[in-house]
Amino acid sequence: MRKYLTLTKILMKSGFQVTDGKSKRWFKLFIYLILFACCLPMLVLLYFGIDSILPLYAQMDQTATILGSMLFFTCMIIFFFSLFLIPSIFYFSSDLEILLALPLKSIHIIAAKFTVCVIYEYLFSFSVLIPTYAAYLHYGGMPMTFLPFGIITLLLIPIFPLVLSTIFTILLMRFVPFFKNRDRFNLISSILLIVVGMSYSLFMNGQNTQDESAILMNIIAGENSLLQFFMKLFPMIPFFARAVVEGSILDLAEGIGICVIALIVFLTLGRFLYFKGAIGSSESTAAHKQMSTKQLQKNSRKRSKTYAYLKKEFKLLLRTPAYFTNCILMIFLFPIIILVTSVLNRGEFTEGFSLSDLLMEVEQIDGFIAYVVFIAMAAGFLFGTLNQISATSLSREGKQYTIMKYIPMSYRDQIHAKMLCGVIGGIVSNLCVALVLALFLPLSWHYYIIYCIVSAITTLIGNTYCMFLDLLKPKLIWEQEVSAVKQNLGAFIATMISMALCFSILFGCFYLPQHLLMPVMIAAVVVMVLIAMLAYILIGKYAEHKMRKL
Amino acid sequence: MIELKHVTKEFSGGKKAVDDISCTINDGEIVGFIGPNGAGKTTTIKMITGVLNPNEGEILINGINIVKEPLKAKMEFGLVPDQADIFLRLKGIEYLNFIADMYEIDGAIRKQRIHDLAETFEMSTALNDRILSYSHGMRQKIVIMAVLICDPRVWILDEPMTGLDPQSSFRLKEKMREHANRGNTVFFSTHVLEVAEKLCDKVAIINHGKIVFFGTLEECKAMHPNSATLEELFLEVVGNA
Repeated sequence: MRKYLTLTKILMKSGFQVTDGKSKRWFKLFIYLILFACCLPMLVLLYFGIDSILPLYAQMDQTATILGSMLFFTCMIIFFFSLFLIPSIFYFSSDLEILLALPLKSIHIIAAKFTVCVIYEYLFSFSVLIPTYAAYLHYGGMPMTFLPFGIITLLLIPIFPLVLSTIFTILLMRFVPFFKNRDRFNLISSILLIVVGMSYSLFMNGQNTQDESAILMNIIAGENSLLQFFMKLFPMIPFFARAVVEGSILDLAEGIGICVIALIVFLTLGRFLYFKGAIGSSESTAAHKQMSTKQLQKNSRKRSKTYAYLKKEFKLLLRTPAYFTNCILMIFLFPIIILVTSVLNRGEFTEGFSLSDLLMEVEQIDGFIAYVVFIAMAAGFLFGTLNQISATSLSREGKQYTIMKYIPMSYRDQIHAKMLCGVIGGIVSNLCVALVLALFLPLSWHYYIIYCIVSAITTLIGNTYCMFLDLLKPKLIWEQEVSAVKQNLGAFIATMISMALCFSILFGCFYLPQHLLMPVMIAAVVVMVLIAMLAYILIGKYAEHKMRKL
Repeated sequence: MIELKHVTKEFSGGKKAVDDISCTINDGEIVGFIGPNGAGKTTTIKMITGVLNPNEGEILINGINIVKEPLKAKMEFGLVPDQADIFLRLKGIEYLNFIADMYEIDGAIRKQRIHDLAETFEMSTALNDRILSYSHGMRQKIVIMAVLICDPRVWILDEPMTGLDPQSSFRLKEKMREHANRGNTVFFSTHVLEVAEKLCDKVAIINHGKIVFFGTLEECKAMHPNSATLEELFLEVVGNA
């Protein structure tokens, strides 16, 4: 037990850091406060949402259903995201080689690592369930046991979905050697996750329109019959929901019982299968093939420093699964979402009226070109920076950033090359968006040319502030590459700025008086071009200054 | 040639990692940099290579100030850092070419050098694999090869023998000797006193951020005649500091 507790403590300390590990305590506190402030609107929205529908469900004798739905939502999210988290913590973490060599039983390692996962997941389950509980308390009529039973539920709810995904991972690692390669596993699982996420979202959209009556019938049937649906996937949910809302101690005992049984099954399986799966997992494989003279000749051509640097950056982005999924795939994500949405909604246009007639009319609107320019500006800020290539470019170097300091290439040129990667990614993203739109909205081609040019300008500006934020506070201390992009505060702030700029431009242009559209548009383009040029020069100067101090 | 003139490095908290050190490493010399853990070896190397800026003093590489003209100075040296885990997802050949592009090495010359060095260090079959798949020693070899391909006049190596097999270690030492014999400079840190004794023209011993001895090993032995072995000599120099 002592070994388990010590290991859990150490894993917790080394695992989760939003800042760079060198920051002062007040700064860390400040960061957590900012993160909390960012999440606050979502929590408030959740509270008011539940608060408004709770009386409706109570009338139909379905009071526990809302809590059941929230517990189900929490479990589903934990289950899906832990499919990502579990392999990296249990099988691909850098501490594994050390832990395997220590006199520890497999049960110590898996129990400690599992506890760390549960604690991570509290962050999410707390943010969903606390507003839910608050809404129930505000509604009133809850039993005396509401809070104690609620807290127990809160603490136990991540266990079952985590047990499911851990057992799945343990079996996969033990019996499917193909997945023992870390890069391969991360790449396939992250692409699958995006595909599943998109399919689920599209499926749910379809369900919402088709089966509303069926859902209503289910609700009218009364006595929390909807909870039976959740029962099939996560059997403890109905028990916990009834225990909290109705104060039933028997239901609470049954819910706890299911979690305990799940834990016992998991620990027993882990005891026999974990070591066999964990030993031999690798990061990469080697072919050990001699290069031919032709290959050597081809590979050894002299290139310019900027070209060589760009090539190196793109190769690392493409070959590192964490960067590939969070940066490269993001370039194509929105064009694909627009494409899929357009394909699915195509029928709706063709039934009522002719799309081409409508577009011809739209093109005749006074100042239509100004709208195109403003939309392009907004899209440049958003799609041009969502790939986070610039916003994480220095952070991705990690502890090895020192190589930037001793290679004979100026800091300015290195930072410009890094930023150029993000700009290219942003331009490709906007180009794809333009192509997809051109397929479904056959406007005159020159509008799409204008879109591409204008969005390229704001893409450059967007990547400059992304680069600036990363230079300002790079996250250079990390154990796994995914932390450089996922736990990067600068990248998060950059995305927030991009979204704010995008929506401000859209909001501004649609509320602008008609007679001001053209002059404001011309002024905005001139100002954006000037800012882009100035920003490009200034970021180079700032890079020289900042990199010397780093 | 490397010149250090009254160089001091103070980190936040007021601790002096390097305290007013001065020495000149001449052309044609191999100088070993020796000292206990935390003595200031890596900090000194980081200042020489421009990774850290000194608080005081100046550092010249072939007469070029690393702080005032960093780019020009960096073209003069090649560094083998203490950590060889660099760009792990590049292939060995890609890493070599990246560094060669940084030093603007001509295509034909680099091709020949890559071929020869791959043979020397037995890396021919590994060049097309990602560095991530390499062992620690192989990673060390690829970083060493990158410096050797660019062949700058000054070689700076931070514990270059760590992880190398005896054969590669022997060949690296040969290359270092050849480089110095051609009138170039080699400066390297090591913990292996025998290597310093057999390879170096001079040694610089650093302790608590100060250079406590700089000269030939013979001079050092003459100053401490009671030390029977190299270890005793080292401990006496460091202990008396």
